[in-house]
Amino acid sequence: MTTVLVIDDDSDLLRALRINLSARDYRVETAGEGGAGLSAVAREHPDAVIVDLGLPDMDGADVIRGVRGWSSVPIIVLSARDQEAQKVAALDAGADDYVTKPFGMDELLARLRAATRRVLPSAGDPVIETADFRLDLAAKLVRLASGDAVRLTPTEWQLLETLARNRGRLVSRYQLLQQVWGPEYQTETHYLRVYIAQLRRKLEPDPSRPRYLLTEPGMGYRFSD
Amino acid sequence: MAVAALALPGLTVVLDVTRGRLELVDELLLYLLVVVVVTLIGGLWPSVLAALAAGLLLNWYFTPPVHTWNVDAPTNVLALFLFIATAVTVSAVVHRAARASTLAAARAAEADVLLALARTVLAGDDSPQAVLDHLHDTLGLAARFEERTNDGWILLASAGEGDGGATTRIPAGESLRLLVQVEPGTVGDRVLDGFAAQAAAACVRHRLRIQAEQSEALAAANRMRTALLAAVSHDLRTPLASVKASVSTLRQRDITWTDTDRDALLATIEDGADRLTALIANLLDMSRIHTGAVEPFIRAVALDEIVPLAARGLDGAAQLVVDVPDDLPLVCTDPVLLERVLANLFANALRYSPPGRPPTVRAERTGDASTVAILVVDHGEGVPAADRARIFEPFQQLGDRRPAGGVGLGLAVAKGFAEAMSVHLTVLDTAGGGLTMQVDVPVSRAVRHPVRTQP
Repeated sequence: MTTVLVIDDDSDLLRALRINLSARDYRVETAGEGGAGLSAVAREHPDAVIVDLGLPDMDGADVIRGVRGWSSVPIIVLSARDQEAQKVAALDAGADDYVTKPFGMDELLARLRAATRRVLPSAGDPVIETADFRLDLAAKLVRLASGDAVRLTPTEWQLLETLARNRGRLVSRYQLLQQVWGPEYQTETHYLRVYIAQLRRKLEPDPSRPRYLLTEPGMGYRFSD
Repeated sequence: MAVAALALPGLTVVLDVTRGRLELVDELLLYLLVVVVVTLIGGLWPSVLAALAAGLLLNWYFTPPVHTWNVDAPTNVLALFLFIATAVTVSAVVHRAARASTLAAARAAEADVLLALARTVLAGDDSPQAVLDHLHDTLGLAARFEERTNDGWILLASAGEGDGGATTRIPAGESLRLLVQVEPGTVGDRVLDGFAAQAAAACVRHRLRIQAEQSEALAAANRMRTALLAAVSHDLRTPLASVKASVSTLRQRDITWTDTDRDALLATIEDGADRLTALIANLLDMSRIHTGAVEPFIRAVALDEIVPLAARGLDGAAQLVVDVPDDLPLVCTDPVLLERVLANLFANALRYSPPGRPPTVRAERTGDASTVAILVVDHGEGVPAADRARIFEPFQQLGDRRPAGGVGLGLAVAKGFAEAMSVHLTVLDTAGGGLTMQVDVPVSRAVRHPVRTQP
């Protein structure tokens, strides 16, 4: 059973989340303050942590840093703060994903599923099928639904593979640049925009309204299937 | 001239009397002395006249043959000419030195005036009016300082009463000018230029200071608006988040919710809606207060009827210990506004009360029986005296790290409505820790005592 720890000071929201997550066979632990949340992480060893940034006793970013000091448990931020700088600060502190309040339950559940899914081992499940294309990670092949093979440059392929292996999960700009281009390119975010645009032109049915390669403004990109 | 007219005949008489005791050389030197004195007092032209007159007097009275215009000895002719030449030269030199020293003294006086002016301006009295006052005080002149506008020259500052006499105009930049009531040229140009420049500079600095104050105020208002927006957006989103989470949960068809879950989710939605309603009520109240749209309708009402209304619907209202006797005199107030004041004070007291020590509400007649005091007493952490004034400003609890979802508007609304009704709202310490809010409501004059039913 997957254990989820929710740290939020709004008892109404805790109640709604507890009802929904319990019905979906998650074990739900809750904490109303950051300090209590940190000790609950140590005590319960949850499989995912959902944390609010505005807590009465400490800032949520400090809770994230406190957890990251010794644990790599997936952390999803759930906050009413919607400024890009605030999202970046939370992600830099070590959060894996960021959901803005108010949010739909389906979205939170999808993010939670992605966060708790094990990273794909390179040999296992090497094929991703979508309505518009078929991605074979082992053979390094992409075919459109029409059957035509798509030609990708090595950089385009590496970018697509990194996103696909984290499908559903937010991959930060920093992480993508580091993995695809290398540590010295960490600030060259315009590379990402250019290559993501090329991938969209080759894969998306409507590149201006992407379905699969989603931009998370200020944070990074997400492969959604 | 008068000195020359008196001194030369005087000296001539004296030397005539003492004739034979002095050499011609001594007599020449004495006349030279008189010419120099005349130069110092009378200036250049009187001294030249005096030198010529002295030469003639010497010729007539003291060069043999005396009492004739003839001179016997050629050496004496030479001596007379040398005397006149020396006297004129010395007078010229002396005159120049005297004029230079007079000019230096005048310049020093001007410098003193300008220095005093600079001191006045530097000492902080930095306005065109202060500069003109200084001009009037030191030089005794009436002055006006004007600016050119599209409608002609307008007066910015003036000092002293003009009597319509001659006026000197000193321009200061393109659009400013100083008018001083004095004949042009009588006061040093430098001094008036200095006053005009200082007045213009003071005017510019004065305007810059006003602009700086305005932009500081605007910046503060901007910071306030940003913080307000962040606080409002957080406070609106938090209840919306639980409403939307509950609604989207109920809409999910893949799970059949039990009746208990459904009830809990519906209760969460209602609770969120209540919180939003309260917040929006306070936001609207606050904007009414800010736009001055609050018009109290004062009438005689009974407090024991208002207090329960104010407590209704608050989180934890059941804990509130109410002690409002029903035999208090009627009070003179707007019941709706007083209810909003009290509701916000109650909500604040409930929010900051530690568990197990609920707040109390007490109403009692004050000493002189002209008012009834409503005391809202909590046993929370209290507020340091230095921060007391601040707690009534809106959005003091900025950001989203706040205990139990305080909005940061309640006390501002309470204070605003209390002021609109001219009701005193004071902050006191609770004995043993905590805050006591006291609302003094005037007793109704019409019905000072409640009507007692006869047994």
